[in-house]
Amino acid sequence: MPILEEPEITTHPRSDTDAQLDPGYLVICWDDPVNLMDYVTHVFQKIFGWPKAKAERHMLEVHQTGKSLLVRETLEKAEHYVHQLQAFNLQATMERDQ
Amino acid sequence: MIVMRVFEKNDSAIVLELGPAETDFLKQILSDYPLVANESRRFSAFADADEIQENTQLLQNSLNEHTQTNRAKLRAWLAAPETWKPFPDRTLLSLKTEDSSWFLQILNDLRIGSWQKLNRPDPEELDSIELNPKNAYPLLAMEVSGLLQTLILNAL
Repeated sequence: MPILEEPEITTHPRSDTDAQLDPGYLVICWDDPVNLMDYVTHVFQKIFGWPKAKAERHMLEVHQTGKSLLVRETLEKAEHYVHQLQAFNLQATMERDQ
Repeated sequence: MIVMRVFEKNDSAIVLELGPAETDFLKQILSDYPLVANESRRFSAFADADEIQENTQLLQNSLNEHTQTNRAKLRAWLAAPETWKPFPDRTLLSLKTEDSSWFLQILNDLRIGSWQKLNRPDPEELDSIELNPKNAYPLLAMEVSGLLQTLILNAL
């Protein structure tokens, strides 16, 4: 039976890989009774640079199901998007991805 | 009847035609900007999301700065001679295409702020609300800002 050497255990500082494993933040847009549907589509196109069809799909999801998950991002980027969406008076929040 | 339509659209601008009463009323409601208070905004749906709540104040401050920038730009735009072209029976309002999203944002603030003043009624019930001296202004502000939003969105 071969004799196994005890492995050497070393610790490393937090790396970029750790950051990539971060669960991230979900940017969610919630339904409201007053924003115009075409306006919501326009805002999604403007902020995320989405084609109209994708923006409309998310707008309809908000309208029909009450919310739509728009993007999953780092905390910093999620804050940026929520700020932009709220500046256009859309009801957007960010939630830590579980 | 509200006299308001797209007069001309090209690559650089959207020109809207407004009746005299609509012109005066639009100038009035634009001077009310902003109506929606940033302090009531929520950035997370869950009260216990500590790491997000910590950033709430920063986000509110940032939105307040954004609103003030919008307000300053709106005042300059309203005062610029090229914005309004008056005629005896109508006014042409010129909006640069690059400013269309900005102006839609302003109009949306006025529309939502007016709706809040009306105690957030179901939009489908707006037509059946009985007019009185208190609700006439926000009702008309909602109507005019919403119609303008629709005209601009269709023109883009």
